[in-house]
Amino acid sequence: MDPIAVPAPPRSAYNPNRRVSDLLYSQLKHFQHVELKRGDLGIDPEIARNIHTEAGAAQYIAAITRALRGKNSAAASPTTPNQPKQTPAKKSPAKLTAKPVARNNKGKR
Amino acid sequence: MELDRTLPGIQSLKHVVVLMMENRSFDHMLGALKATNSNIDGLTGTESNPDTTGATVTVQPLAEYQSQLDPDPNHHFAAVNLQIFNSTQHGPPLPANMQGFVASYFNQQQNTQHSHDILYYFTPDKLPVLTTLATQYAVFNRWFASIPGPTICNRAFAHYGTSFGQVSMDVFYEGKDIPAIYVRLLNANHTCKLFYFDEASSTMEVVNLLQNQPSLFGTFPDFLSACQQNALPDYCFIEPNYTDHPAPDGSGEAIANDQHPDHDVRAGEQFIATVYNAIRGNPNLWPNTALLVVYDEHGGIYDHVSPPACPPDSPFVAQPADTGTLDAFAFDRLGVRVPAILISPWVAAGTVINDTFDHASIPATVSDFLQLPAGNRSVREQNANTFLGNLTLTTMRTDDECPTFVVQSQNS
Repeated sequence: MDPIAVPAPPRSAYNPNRRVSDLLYSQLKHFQHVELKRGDLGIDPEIARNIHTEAGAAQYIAAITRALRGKNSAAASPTTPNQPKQTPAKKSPAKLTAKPVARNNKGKR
Repeated sequence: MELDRTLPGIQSLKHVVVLMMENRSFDHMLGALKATNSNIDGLTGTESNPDTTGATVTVQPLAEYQSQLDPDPNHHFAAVNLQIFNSTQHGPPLPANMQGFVASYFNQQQNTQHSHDILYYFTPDKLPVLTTLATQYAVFNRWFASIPGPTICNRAFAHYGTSFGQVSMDVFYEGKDIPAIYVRLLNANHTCKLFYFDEASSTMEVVNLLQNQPSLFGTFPDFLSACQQNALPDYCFIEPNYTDHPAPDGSGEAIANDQHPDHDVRAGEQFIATVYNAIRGNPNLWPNTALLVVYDEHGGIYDHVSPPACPPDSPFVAQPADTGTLDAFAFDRLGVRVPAILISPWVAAGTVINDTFDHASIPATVSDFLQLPAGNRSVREQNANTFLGNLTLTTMRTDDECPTFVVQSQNS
């Protein structure tokens, strides 16, 4: 049986500025719940506020996931450009203000 | 049905792998296959819904990879109630006529023409991976979402056999007395792992499993390494990438591959192929592994099959304030049908499975196969069908009889 080719999506399919979906919004709320409950994860508040796009949300999710899995230091992570410094978290995380996509909104590119 | 442990495929089996994708219905992804295999309960092309003008809109093979199902179709409980029963207020005893999908999608944008897109389905040539796997292995005609609702509560059924009475995305189930399948496996000295794509995508299982048992988790590269090193656990569950984001390791762009609208479906095809190839390409792994590719829920997209009733998930009941309708919900009927494919060299090509399954079948199957102590399991899991009995071949398929995929780069 000959191998079957699986084409890649075009470059244009990638849109990190896409507004967060309802699913991602819910995932973010769960992460915020954990951050608030733990109070000691050391998440940069600037990261916690910048969660309106998929890329912004991903950065916040990565920070908490690393913290939960015991990788608290940015310096310990593989090299990533523009890795923000982590500062001690405030007692309450930034309020989730991101709104899920409900209307036709392709986001900015 | 009791598992026949004399089957050669079962005697060889060491690993069960589940890949759960996002938000596509059976007819949307596989409905076109009825034309080439009448045993597959797909589309005849005459299925329809009324639109908000009263016009009859027929299903069309016009699904596109991206930018069509935007805005995202509503798949919360009340919207799915409309899709199934054509009512925003009540479910049974109204007939489940599957006539409310266009009306439901109209509510997202108030655009009559655009609302028709919810009936579009893919031609097989556009989905080379899913089409090949469905026709070369075993496709389920009757795998349904566990509840007629959204992602997180449906995924909970795959992990716990229940959503603890939740029909929404607010599933903060901490301290519950039904352990996840992973805990049960570990307690019985088996190995297991949840592989998320990367830390920036992470898992949907945040509040309970990631917070309390972070060592259960690994990344997709960890999965690939485990395959290469013959180190797969007894059971593992794979989550796709849920967002477009710069890869945390600095390697470039990580495109969402979960196939959740409006992410490009081709990225998900490549992801499924990569998972399959990792197992298929290791001769030490392929004979000993069963892979289930399944979707968590239908995403609000059309399917023609009415979801069946099921044993209520006692003692859980969701009240009208939670369902968004005028009815309570006793978890006594399933959600809309989703694509599900069982892959193994011990499965005959062209197999079509007609028994009823939902995501509670996943912990039920794993628990049954590995003969875990009965323990505390949900009513739904106790009553769920298991799927490994479909590894029925007496002789393993040869290498030439099993497909492989070439995942092309962007400039190919």
